[in-house]
Amino acid sequence: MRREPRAFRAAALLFGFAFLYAPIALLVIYSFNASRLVTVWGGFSVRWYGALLNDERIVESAWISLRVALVSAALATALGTCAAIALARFGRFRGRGLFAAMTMAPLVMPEVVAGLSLLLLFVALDVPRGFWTIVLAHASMTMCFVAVVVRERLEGVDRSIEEAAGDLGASPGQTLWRVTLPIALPSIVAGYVLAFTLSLDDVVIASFASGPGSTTLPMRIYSAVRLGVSPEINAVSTAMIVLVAICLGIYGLARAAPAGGRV
Amino acid sequence: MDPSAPLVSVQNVVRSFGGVKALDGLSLDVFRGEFFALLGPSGCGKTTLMRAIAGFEAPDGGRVLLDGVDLGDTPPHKRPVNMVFQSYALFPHMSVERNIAFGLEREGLPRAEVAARVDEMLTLVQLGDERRRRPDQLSGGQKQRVALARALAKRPRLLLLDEPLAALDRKLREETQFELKRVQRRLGATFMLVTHDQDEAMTMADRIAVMRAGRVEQLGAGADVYNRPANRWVAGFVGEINLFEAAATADCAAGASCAFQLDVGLTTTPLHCGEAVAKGQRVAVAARPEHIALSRAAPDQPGPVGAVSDLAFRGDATLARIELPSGFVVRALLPNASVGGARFARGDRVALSLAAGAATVLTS
Repeated sequence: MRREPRAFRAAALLFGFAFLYAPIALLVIYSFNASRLVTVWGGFSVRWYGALLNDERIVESAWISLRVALVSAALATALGTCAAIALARFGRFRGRGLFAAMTMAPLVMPEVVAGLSLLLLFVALDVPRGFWTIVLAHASMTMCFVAVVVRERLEGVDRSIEEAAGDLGASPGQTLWRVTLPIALPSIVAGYVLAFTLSLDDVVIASFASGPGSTTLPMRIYSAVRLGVSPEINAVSTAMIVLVAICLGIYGLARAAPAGGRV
Repeated sequence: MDPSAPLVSVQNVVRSFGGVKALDGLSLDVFRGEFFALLGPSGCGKTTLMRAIAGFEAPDGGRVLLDGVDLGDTPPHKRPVNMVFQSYALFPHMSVERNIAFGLEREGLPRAEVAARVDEMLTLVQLGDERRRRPDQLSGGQKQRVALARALAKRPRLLLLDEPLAALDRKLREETQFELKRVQRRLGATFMLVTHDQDEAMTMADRIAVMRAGRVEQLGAGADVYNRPANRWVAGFVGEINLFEAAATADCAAGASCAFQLDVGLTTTPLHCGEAVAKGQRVAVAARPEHIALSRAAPDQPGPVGAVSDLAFRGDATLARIELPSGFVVRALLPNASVGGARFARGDRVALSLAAGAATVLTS
């Protein structure tokens, strides 16, 4: 096989990464810009991070986003794990194909459609929109991701391990609690972190499901940007990038954990 | 309870998978303290039978009795039967001792009792030093011993072993065979082994059920199955054998002996007939390679003469393949210990003879 020159391969890699990450790098760099003008470099400073903490509306939105993400991810993890167990362990029950398709459909559902349909539902049921409607909306959006991750893990586990638990006297419930779930735990953690991340940076569905006093951070950023990009927005975005990067790191570690290994 | 009554009684069990009968009205009894083996090729139903006894498969028909009690729909976790899985199926998130304690804790035994039995089992399988390790830190042989200890800790009335040695290398397999025998004798427990390996079955089991297509073809001690196969299929499956087409030279009652004329041109010494045969009736005479003797053929040698077509050195013996003029190939096992005995080379012309009375007459 012909080997491309080393320089060519390095350049191709650099170009690829630049294409993906240059905008983000620019945003991070400018978040440390001392100047108020977004596009003019005025020296290094962390003043905008300080300004963030004093901006009540940003802090409030960040707090809402964090709470929504924590709660909706928990809900999504519980439901998604149940769905994964049903799909991976209950055999060929009636309607299994339909159940599998409907569980996974939100993976490819346009977010605008999902958001609009949720809005219509909340209006029809006369549910006041706010924190809990965003939680529900996000849980319904992210549970399929949890289901995919957990199901993949369960299907990789030797079925005879659960049979052995039964053989040793564990009832089906004890087998689930003491054997199946502990073995699936890394994937459940991975699913939770994934759901948390997806919820944290969602703007479309949150816009449909939110009400007065429940503006999430991405919504806040989106509306602020329409009035012009400020260095403060760069700073808050950078903070989110860091948080999401940490989450993805945890997700990767949890996914890579050996079957039954410590999490 | 009658101590001579069978511990496990399988009665007319039928189990089909999509029209294919994995178990076809199978019946057999296993007695207390016995090391019993189910031997057969893959797909013969031996694993299905074991899973039916453990409760993982519900038979379509027939009954499985344990100590005279119909196990019926009793779920696996309520059966006093334990199993060593082929993949060992250790709990990957638990240490060796937690694995062994798992079944005992499910019984709700007091802590001290659990600890004592775990220690006892660790000693039995010599894994005391590995008690805090996790399964992924153990070798294949150690995992196998943990699986055995975990199942035995429950003191099952019957221990099922599903191809327990299949994943071990040859040397370790032999060691483990004797190890299993030792444990079984020491505990006086009843073991039921599933295997496709006839050497394994013969080495370990007191009795062997040779299975094919969901039925038992022959049931008996290893030596009986080997020396007195019930039919052509068993003869061919268990060990190496030469099947000679032959005809009876006289009418012979069941249990009597008579000589047979082999198609290859040899008349046997009188052979025991399990069933009555009529003069001229076509039968097969089965002879193990070790019961075929070779001698250098004289130019005017009567009887079957062939050429040595191949010699396979096996250490303790050499397996020779002799091709007769008809194209029929006879296998003969020549012990290497016989110093000064005739040595043959490829292409040598040799005369065949059968050890007196050593062959088996098969009418089916």
